[in-house]
Amino acid sequence: MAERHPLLRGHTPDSVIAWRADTPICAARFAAAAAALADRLPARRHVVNLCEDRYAFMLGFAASLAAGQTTLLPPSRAPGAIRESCRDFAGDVYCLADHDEFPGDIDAIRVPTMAEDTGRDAGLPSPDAAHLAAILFTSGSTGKPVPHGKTWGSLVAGARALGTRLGPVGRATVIGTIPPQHMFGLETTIMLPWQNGMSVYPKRPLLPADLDAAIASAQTPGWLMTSPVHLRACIADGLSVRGLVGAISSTMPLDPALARAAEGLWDIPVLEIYGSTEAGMIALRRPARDERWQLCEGLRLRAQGSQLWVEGGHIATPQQIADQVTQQDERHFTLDGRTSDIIKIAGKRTTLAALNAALNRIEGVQDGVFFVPEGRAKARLAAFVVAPDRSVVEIRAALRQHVDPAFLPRPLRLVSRLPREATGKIPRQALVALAATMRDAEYAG
Amino acid sequence: MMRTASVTPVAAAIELELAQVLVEVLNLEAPAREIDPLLPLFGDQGLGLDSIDILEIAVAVSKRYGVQIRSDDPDSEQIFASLRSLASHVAEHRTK
Repeated sequence: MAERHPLLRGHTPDSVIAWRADTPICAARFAAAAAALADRLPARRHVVNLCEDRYAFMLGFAASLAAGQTTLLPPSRAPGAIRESCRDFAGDVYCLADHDEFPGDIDAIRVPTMAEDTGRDAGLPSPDAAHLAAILFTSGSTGKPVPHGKTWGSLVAGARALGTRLGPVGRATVIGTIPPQHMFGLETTIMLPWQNGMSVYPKRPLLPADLDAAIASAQTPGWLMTSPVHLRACIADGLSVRGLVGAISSTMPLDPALARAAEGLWDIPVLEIYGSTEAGMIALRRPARDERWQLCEGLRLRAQGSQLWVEGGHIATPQQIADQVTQQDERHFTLDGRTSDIIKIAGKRTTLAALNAALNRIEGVQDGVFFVPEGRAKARLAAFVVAPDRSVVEIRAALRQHVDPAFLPRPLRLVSRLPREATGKIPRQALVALAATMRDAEYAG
Repeated sequence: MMRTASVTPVAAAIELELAQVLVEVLNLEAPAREIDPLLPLFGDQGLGLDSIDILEIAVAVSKRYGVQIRSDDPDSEQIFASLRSLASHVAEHRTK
């Protein structure tokens, strides 16, 4: 017998699911709006949800689940990435958006940002646990985004496990700086509040002053879901956050010193999630107090040769761990460093291979390579490009079509050739030297 | 780089200071004095900044001048339109 899980858990028809301009939207009104939207959806199996507003995203996700559809979540907003994610579903896909910035060649339904008061008495779906609720994509080195399917059952299991780890959250408000299209955003700002009786703040507070306003308007204690980039900015700003009861950081490593500074300034627990798009949440820790990670409920680590795998619980198929890990015991481990060329900037993830591939596919680029400069933690990527007939502006504009803005090189330098060895490899030292030469030439000139 | 007479000396000074902030904080390629104050901050035809850059600028502006900027402020698009508009906003609202 198929197992089903209701969309919401821990909610009543009157409980708040979202806040809009200080006005609460209750679960019953959300249900009616989702049902009304579901009636308008085309009979296709796949939908790309590009909504920026978190409540609009929720409406779209709920409606698509009611219609038995699978929601596609591209790796970035770059039009090329959206198109490539949809490519395998051509003819059987449309998009939901609450704005106008999406590729013009995909059919779109506009999601209203104000919940329509249809007065309709409607229930919310209880999707089958095996239903393919979403497909998230990561950047691939061939230019084609790699799909990762998430069943409704696995999303629900992850949300409940996280809710259990947080402890009683009451009717807290989730405030997130991460887009809901990202795995961490989907888990913590959509699934977590849905399955644990919490409500959601619809906007993304990008600046410290925005977060100030978000907490003020929330009316119930807030949990902040964010990344180290935003945490660092808020701490640097000396932002006070009375009204927050906890924070969770993810998407890139959180420096324990920054976590301690945040806990000192805000007097709240600052947790960190270690996970991936492939596996979802893997482990949790509180870095200000303990650098060790604790594996999530039901998960197991398994060594196979030199490769470590994580499996069980909400993880559908065993996933490789990309980091060097030291296990203290069955449930605890520390991270020792990267084993791959994964790049993470501002909470976005890609690989050098994917970036280099995108760069070299640009018309007019004869050769090109991305380079991680020495030094400053927040430094951008640099790139060296051989493209006699193109300008820096043109190349950057072309890159912007396929690559998240966080990875756009700064600086992008045009050169006559790259220092490749006979094997075709470019030793890092050669790039360091090239960067230094160009810098010195600037100062001299 | 010519700075037009329509900018007050105070705002012009802030323009140059902010240009310096941009160069340092954002790892820009041009020296501060060469940044056109009327160039758009966003987009490929301008400085090509993104939301993470705006975050860095907002923090720097808050620390240095005590000016808090909200991204959902109806004026924020105008404030961040160019170096000149940003400098003008800072000159008007600074508390330090």
